[in-house]
Amino acid sequence: MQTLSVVAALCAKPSESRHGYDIARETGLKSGTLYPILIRLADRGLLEASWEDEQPAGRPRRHLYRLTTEGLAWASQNLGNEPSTARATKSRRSAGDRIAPAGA
Amino acid sequence: MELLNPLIVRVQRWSVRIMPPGRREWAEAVWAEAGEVPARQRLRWVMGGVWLVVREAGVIGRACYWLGMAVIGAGGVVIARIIWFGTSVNPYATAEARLLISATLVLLAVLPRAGRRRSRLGPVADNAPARVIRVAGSGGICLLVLVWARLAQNLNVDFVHEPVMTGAIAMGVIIACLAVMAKVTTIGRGRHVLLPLAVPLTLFLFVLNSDWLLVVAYASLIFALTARGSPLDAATLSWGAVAGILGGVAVWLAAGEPMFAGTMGSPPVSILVAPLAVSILVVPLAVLGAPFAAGWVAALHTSKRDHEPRRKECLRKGFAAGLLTGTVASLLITIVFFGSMVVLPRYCPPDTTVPYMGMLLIGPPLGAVLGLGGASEAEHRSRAVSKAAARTSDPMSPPAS
Repeated sequence: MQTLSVVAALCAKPSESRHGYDIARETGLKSGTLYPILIRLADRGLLEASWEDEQPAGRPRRHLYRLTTEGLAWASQNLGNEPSTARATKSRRSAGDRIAPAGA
Repeated sequence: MELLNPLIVRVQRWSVRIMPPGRREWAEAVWAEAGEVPARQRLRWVMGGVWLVVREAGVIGRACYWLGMAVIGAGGVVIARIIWFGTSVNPYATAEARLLISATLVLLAVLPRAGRRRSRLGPVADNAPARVIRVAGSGGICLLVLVWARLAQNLNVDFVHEPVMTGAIAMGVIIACLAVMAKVTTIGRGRHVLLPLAVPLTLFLFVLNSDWLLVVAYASLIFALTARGSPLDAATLSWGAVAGILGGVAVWLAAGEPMFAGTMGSPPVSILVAPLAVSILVVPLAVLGAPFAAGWVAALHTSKRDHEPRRKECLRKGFAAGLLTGTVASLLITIVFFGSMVVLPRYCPPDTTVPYMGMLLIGPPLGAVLGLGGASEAEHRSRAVSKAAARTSDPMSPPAS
């Protein structure tokens, strides 16, 4: 259930990368619950994680997350084929190789 | 809340040190965002990060492992005390037993330290079965030495040496082992220091008391099979150990008729007929079947790797699983039988320890060979099934020759 809420949060804006606190705020999950879920999703290839490209002033770089094509497909199956999810999957598939792999 | 910032920096350093390399960036991600979290929620965020580190780095498992080792160490000291002040019908036996328990305790103190470095003996694999087997195996070795020494002290079995001589040698062994331990802990490349010292020490101990070499061999085997470089994964370790325990218990129940004779009354001759018949069936089945089954299961848990053919990997795992089963079963059977002789000498007459020494010697290699056989058979069958499935799915393929 908690995993689904995280995936749903990431599905809301599938083309944008989101940081951990942002997801935690939306889902109401604590960091000790949220990050293990993110780790499992990344291990299964459903989530891509990357660091912010540029060093922002006054704070450390954030770790950013977004669903992979497989992640969006998994979400469309498990979140009850919501229209926004299906659209996101389609647009991500059409984007193809433009999506940078994790850690790139 | 500003007080939290130094805490975050410290926790960050600690987490980077203990997290596995592939997981470090996740801990760094939590700390990177801690500054963004509103002050009143920051402590909760930090605690969540600590929980993440504890969970991902397996801190609880590690803590339980070292706690278990500490308990074994404390138990070993109690056992040493029992043996040290134990009365004996044989004045030489107590001195010999003191040597045995002292050397074993030093061995069990040295091995975990040596096992902390990346070598054949360690560090311990990052899974619960490996930790449990290592701690239980160390405890088993302590118990074996206790019952062995008590057998010698109480019943005058084995051990015939000059007490002064053995006392002096015991001190020599302890000092040498402590020197090794000191070298291991202070010099980075412990293995290079251990080897030149361990070889003459082992030869020396072999001349002094060849039985103790079995203790060294068993401790080393248990550490090697549960080390990170061991070919056994968590599932295979569990199956290997369980097969060993079941095999050991089956042999004890089937071959331990003197104990049942005692509870059922004498004379045992009439009731020995039935257990004897059972023994003839059960003992070979348990001795041969347990390692074979462990090897079989190990082969089933083998996945195909790119760099190594599957058959070779299966056989390697089967060999190691059978070795573990043989080691566990032999250790268990010897402890139980020696213990029976010590606790119930009337029903389990302590005539000789030689057959059990023989079993300790033969058990692990026999288990390894049988495990190899089990793995080979499982791999052969699995290949036959795959070929049959491929043939069924592709009707155009030529028939098997």
